[in-house]
Amino acid sequence: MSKILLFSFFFFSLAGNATPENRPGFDFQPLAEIAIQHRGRIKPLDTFASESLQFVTGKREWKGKGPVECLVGWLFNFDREWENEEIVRINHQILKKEMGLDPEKSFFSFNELQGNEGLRRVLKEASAKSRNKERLSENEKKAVIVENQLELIGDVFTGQSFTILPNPEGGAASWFPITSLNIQGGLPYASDVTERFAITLKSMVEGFLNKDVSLWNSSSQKLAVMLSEDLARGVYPEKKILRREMHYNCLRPFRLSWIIYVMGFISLMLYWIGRKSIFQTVGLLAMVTGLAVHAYGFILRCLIAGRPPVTNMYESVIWVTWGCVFFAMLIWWAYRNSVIPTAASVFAIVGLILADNIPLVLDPSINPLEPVLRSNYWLTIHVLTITLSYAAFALSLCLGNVVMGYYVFRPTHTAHIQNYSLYMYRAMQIGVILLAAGNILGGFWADYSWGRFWGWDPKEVWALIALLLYLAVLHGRFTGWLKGFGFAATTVVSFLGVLMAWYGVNFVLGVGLHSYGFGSGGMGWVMGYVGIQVAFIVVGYLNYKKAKSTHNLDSTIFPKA
Amino acid sequence: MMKFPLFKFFSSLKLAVISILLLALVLTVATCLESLYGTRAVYVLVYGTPWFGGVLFLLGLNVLCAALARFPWKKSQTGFVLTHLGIITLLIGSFLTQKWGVDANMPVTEASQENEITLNNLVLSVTDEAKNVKKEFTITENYRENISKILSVNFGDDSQITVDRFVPRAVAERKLGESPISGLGSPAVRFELFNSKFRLEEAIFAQHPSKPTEINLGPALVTFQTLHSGEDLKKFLAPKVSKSLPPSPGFLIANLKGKEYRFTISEVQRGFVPFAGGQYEVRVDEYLPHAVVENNRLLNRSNDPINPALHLTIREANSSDSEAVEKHTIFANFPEFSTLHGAHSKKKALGFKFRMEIAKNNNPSLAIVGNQRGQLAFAQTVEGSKLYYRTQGKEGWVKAKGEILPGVITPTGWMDLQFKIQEWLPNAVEQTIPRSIEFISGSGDNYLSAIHIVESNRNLASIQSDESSGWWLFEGQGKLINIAGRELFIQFIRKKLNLPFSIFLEKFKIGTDPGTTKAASYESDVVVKDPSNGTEQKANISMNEPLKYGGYTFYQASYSIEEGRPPVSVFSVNFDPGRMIKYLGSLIMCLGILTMFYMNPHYLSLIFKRKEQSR
Repeated sequence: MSKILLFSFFFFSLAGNATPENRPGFDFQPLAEIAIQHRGRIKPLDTFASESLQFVTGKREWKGKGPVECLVGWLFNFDREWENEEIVRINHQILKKEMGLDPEKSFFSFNELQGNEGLRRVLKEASAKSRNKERLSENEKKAVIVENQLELIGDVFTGQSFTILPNPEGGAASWFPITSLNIQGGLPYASDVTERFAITLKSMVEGFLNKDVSLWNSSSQKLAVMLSEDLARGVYPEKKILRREMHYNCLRPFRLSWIIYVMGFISLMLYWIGRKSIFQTVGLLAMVTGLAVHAYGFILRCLIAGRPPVTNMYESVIWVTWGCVFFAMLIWWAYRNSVIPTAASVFAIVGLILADNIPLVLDPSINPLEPVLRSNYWLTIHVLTITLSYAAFALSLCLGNVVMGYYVFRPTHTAHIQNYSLYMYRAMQIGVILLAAGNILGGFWADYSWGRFWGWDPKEVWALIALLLYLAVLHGRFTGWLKGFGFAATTVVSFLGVLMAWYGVNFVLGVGLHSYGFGSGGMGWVMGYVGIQVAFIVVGYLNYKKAKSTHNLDSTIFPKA
Repeated sequence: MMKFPLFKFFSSLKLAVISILLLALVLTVATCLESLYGTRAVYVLVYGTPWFGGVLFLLGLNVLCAALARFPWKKSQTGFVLTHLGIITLLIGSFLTQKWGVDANMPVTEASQENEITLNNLVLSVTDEAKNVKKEFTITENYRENISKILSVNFGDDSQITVDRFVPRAVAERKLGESPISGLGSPAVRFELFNSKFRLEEAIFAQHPSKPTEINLGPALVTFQTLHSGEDLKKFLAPKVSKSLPPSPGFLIANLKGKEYRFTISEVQRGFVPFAGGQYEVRVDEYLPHAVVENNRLLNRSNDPINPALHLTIREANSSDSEAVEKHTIFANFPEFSTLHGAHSKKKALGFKFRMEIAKNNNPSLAIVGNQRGQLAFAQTVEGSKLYYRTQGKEGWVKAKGEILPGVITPTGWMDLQFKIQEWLPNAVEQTIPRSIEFISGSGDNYLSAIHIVESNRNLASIQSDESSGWWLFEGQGKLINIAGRELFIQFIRKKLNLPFSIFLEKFKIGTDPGTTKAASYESDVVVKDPSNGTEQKANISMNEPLKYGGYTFYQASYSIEEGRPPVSVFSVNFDPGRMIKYLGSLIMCLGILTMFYMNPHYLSLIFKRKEQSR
């Protein structure tokens, strides 16, 4: 009986404009730790809630409420507390105009968007286009995102996406959403177990609606225990594993490591200004600590995903920034010059801050792989090798910019220029061997998986172009065409090849060269960087020219061994 | 050696820098073109062209000469020599692959065998079945629509066919056109059906002289017929509405451990029917006379019993156990399919096998009444002078009727729907015309191309070479034509090759990610049947686990599964004579770079010093 009653709770509606209420003393931790099967993976509800809230609102919490609290609110009392709350983020001006929304606002309520005629019109056009495989306009792409946001909210408040009831068959079998409780015989558990579970869930709902702290806390605790102990004992993931992922969510190791890198960077800069060796020691210690936290986060992510995390842009940014600092510390070990880690930390900080803050471009969620990428030794090896070469090139870029800095500010300090050029050259050497090997390993992988050693695929072609650019620089140096300034400038410019292979193939060529998509997906950031970089080189060149007329800058052959 | 100026030129370091940058530039342009026009286009424009081979050859020659110029080599030059040797080996291996390698696809349907592989080249294949002669002519692909004479085939007597247009990415669009020869077409109307929420446009032909044509359009059944007499018109405007159920479309047969139970479909359509001594109950949830799969869902296309299917529920009477309820979908045309839904997730099945028998000579038009949708009927008089309409509600009662003219908006009388005749052609043909679409990167390169063919036939009255006299062929299509007194089958296809052995697909298996329908892994159990030595060899092909046989390698590339059809597994078939050489070259090159950078960092400066001394 209680099964039928349960969901009548979810749908009784008192029309009103109430906003989400505060529930002081409510403990959401037990619920955060329960497991949910979502997008092909079993994860803590905490992860699902954070990802959902982030997708809808772009925020990590909503007005002081954590993601789990928000999701529970959507599920249990959407129509009274949330349906008129402005939570759906829409930033695209043209789409807002098309939908007749206030262009000044960025957040809109579910009610206001549901059944919006303008949205429906745009979506209809979009679906006709995608059926014909025609290109969607930027407006239509954004409309599809809005549709997905609304769908996600709908799936949450109907209970459809709460697939938290474990399937005793285990393996790839689908878990059941809590809506299955409404179906007579819809669940494979013993009927008394199902009954007890439904009763517990019902008292949770009561506790939530009546703001009964003790009822909520005790029943949610009980529900969590029932899920892991009573329903499907052998199948339910261990607490340890769920806790590990929550630890990863809560620690946010990559944010922590960029904060540490920032401290290291500041400390090292203080050393360069004040020449107090304590700052150098502290700075270097911070770099090592940052590197360790960075590595720890990486390992955690490996354990959670069950594979090396190098298959999307977010993961490769994490890996490449780590590699850059790692190589910097290696070269520092050989030459004991702390400018090397200082330069590398800039790249790591910028990379990690971007990874941390633009989830729509760099998606941090952990998803299953495409079939061809699974359990593949060669894939892992070749991707790790190629991206590691990007890390080495990034380091040579940073050091190249140090050299450029000397040309801009102190073009006559040839001794320093020589040293930094040598470090830059070392980083480039590491990069060239790794990229050459990585390309070849990519050939092995392609041959092994597709039967094609080399298929002129844009990703592999651009990895080759990057390699060719660096080879041209290396050979160009020995023709005598590239001397001090030229060598550093071309090294810096060659990184654009890496940038294209790494980012451009997926984000620029991937959306087509002449689409409106040009500006989206971080294109503005990259073009901004390229502009500043080119300007820096031009200024360096002018100062180099000026200084060359009075000093003999290129007399020394470099890099010296 | 340094005496030959040409050799000196090709071994120079400056040429090396230039040719490296040239290659980088060409590749950059190529990837941009690829993002604009797709993978196939960039092969036509760059990678497959002789001039691109020339660029690679220049680089290879440069690398070779640079290595030879430093002969005799010093120990310190080991890395340099190895690297350059590796690059040359790699280029030679690639050349062999490009020249003699095979890269093809092979779709195999479950429980059948195949020895034909499909290459990437487009051909026009001309078959004379009377003489058993087949010829293939290569169609040069282009990255954009090409309007020029692409190919022309002569058959003597001044008769020929000419391919004069090529559309690389085409979407088929159906259009109505006046038939060029009177009496060859059929009456057709193009109409629009709409209300405030819904709008669709469709064309309907009265193909049969006496029977109405029917199409199912969501909320409406639309028919079109020809009226031969005043009697016909009277019947059309005032149809008899029969309230009895239509005759049963056929029989449902349930088989439990060899024992058969027989039901008429209409009997089990009304609700659960007990059988086997009241132990079980069965009900037909839906009868789909013409089942088609659209967006992974089974829909009904018309009332003609073309691919009849049934959704049914069977349950154990007096049991509330969820295991005791089963849902099945059965197809009259595919009795061998497993019909149970979610069979893999059940521990025990009730053990029923179902099949259906379709009643012959079943008049589909009788099924209209009692159908849960409105009806919109059109009819034209036989000489094509007048057009009539009639609308009926869900219960079958006539809501509106009369004569109708194109362009007039008329209410149907149900669901606030209105209709408008947009075009009425008493003698029309349907033409399929390709519309060229833009390439979108990221969506895969599986666009269909189309060609336009013009026949000029001296035996018939010569037809002008304009568009109306020619016809379109989409990739994969064929057409039978009469030319120069011969009957020829013209096909526009990708080139096929036959392997000396065949692959029999026993079983195709698919695994999904937990809780999703997303494919996680797929594999095929196959048998290689080789008639040359009479052997049969079992093998399993899965992602990353290819089968090697007879010099060919078979990779699990993709698959296609449609409801109502056996699964098709697609293999990528590969023959690569340069493989080992490429591997060897890679190995040598990597060893070389390692040696160069980490054993002797000053190798190049040493070379330079020596070179300066030798001058």
